Amino acid sequence: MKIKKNKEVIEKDIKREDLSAVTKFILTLITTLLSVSMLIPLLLTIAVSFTENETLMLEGYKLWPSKWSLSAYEYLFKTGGQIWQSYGVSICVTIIGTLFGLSIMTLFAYAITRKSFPWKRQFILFIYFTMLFNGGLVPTYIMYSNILHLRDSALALILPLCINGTYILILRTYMRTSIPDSIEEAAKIDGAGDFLSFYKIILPMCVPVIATIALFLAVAYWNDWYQAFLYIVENDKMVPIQLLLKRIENEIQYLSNAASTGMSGVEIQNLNDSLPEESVKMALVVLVTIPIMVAYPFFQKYFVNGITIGSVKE
Amino acid sequence: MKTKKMVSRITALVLTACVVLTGCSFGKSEQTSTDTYEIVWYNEGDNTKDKDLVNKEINEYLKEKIGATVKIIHFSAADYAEKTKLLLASGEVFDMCSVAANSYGQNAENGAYLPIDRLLETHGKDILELMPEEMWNAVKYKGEIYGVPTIKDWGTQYVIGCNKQLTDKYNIDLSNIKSLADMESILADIKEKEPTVYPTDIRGNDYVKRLLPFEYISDSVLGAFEKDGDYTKVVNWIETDTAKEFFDMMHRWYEKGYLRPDADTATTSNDITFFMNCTEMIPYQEQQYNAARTADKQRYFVNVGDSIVTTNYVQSALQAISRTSKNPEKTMEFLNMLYTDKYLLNLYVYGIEGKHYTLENEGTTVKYPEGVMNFTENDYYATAAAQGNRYLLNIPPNTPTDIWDAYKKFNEESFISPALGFVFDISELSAEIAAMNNVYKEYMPALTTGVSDPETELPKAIKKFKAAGSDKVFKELQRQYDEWKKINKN
Repeated sequence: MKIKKNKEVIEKDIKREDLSAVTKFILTLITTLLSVSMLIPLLLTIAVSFTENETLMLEGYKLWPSKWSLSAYEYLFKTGGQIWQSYGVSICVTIIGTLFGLSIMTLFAYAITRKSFPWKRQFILFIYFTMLFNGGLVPTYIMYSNILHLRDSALALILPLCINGTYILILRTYMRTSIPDSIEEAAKIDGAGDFLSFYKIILPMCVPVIATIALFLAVAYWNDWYQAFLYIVENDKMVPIQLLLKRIENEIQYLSNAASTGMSGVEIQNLNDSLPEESVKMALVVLVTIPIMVAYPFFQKYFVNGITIGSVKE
Repeated sequence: MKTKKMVSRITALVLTACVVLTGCSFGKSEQTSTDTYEIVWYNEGDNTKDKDLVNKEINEYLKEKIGATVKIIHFSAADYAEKTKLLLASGEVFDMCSVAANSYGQNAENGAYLPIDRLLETHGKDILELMPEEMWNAVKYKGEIYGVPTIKDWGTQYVIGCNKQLTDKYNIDLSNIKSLADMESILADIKEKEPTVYPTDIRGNDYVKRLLPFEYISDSVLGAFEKDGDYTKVVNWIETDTAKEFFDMMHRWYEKGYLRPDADTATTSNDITFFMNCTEMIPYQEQQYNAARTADKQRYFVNVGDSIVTTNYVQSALQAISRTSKNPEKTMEFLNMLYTDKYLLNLYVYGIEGKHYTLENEGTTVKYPEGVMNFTENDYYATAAAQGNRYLLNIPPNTPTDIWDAYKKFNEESFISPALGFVFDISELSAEIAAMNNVYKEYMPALTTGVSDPETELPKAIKKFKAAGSDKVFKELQRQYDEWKKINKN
């Protein structure tokens, strides 16, 4: 009975905070418009990738073209040795990088939330510092390329992105605010050391925030082309898929400025002719977007909050 | 229990991955060659399938000849400028690189390249002998030589290209075309008779303005010399009467639908059929161009104005020796070989004979393997125009065997710009140039394609350029030019 009553009170509370029908309608409208404005370009890209090239020339981009075709994908599957290679690189880098980054960042965040850790302040300052200042492009490049000699290696794709000050602070805040100290104290009393309480108590309670950071990291790794642009010099086998896409874009950009580069007309025409057709470009974009779109719902499952509610009585 | 397992599994995975990856990276960087020096050479080009194979072949030959090997690293033309900028800025140790377009003066100023006057005399005698004096003047920066020009076509001939099929179909007489304006009636005909074809492929990429009688110093700076003038005064070309007439004409054409509706922003022309475009040509390129294309894409080319040798064009194909080179002498020896050694240069440009090409026409002309229509489809190719002495190359396919003589004649007949060798040093004006660049991007593509009305937009653009600091830039440009002229008058 008591529980039921409580429930009613809670429901009432929620209702009191509830919005009026007009506000609700406006908010729904805005979010709907926002999501539609993001959905349409994506649908258009998919539609264009399935459009026949001639139709594309005559009609332009259409959500429902008059003639569908699979030719772009056929072309990619037939000629794209490099594309699959790059796909593999992207997937490996994303998975390894995300796991690697997560393990370092959660450990770091755990350490700086411990009251018993003596250099807490210095370590937090260290992280803050990297959020405000960075060495800039050239020193970073010198570091990775000339000092660490990471050119053309997978580490050059993984290391630069794996630790992010903001993410560490998010993890720290979560650990500090939503995990009561008493839980860990209880574990200590039961005989758990730092490591044991970290992965048996803290980690399982941090799943929501870890899932969030994992998603951020995975997206960052997947979308990154710049590290590869900088550090993959000779070894085309290490080029991730995003750089392939970027190269096409660069070439188009280059062509539009070609008049000032001193290239002869024929060279420019050759470059122009070697560019893939519009539908192939879009098919490539679709292929690039799919894995990360698939990943989103997978992570969404973990966005469950409130695990700690009711676990401690104070 | 489950979590514990998962965590330990993940840790194990990450650790293994780290070990594997580190292993890879360190295994690679260990390259030791004891007695032969390895020349590291960055060049514009693509990473073709057989590049390593050809590189190996070159090394075997070089070891024998000069006791060195070369490591060739290609960056695609689109990435080249940005990638080499970083290499140079980070003090990367390498020996030789091709100079990215419009970067020679700046890099020489920053001390990225080695001055090579003396090195040429000791290790590059053949290059000195082969190169005419004017070309050295074209690459002198503050009195010193930092790059070696490629021996090739030094002039540029601006042309109008017309669709062959349509020209033949309507019996269009192209013999009287001397300028862009002469095309107007022809375009009107095409517009009327071929409604699905765009009469021109003029886009906001600055090609069309090169058909005007100006030599542009740099695009966003707006500074230009009048080709018919005496090259004493730098003019702001958009304020001249010629420019006004041109903008008016383009606007008229645009209104009549001779240009595509999105002419100012379109980046490629792959998606439309068009009749006329503006480009540049060197001797016999017409044959090469047409032979590599299907009938509907072949064109006739009409010369507009004389061919001209300009600083920009010569400086776009240079090889420079890096200041970080550990052995500039050997590097210069290798560079010298590119100007004298027929076997080496052909190997680098065309690949291995019998594998990537065969010779026909009494051993003079290159023939690609069956099924390769254009060189970009071959398993190996390198750019021919960026290095060495082009006259040593085997004749490219579909080209008359006297092409190199035609080049020599073309170079002799080309108008050598009196401003050849002048580079505008903008290091003191970066704020103004950046502001002008923005104005340029905002107004010029729409003006040169006629999308905007010059009656209202041109004065607006001029006013904006002035606000961005064009007066100061022009004053400095004129001052630098006068100074350069005083030193280089002859």
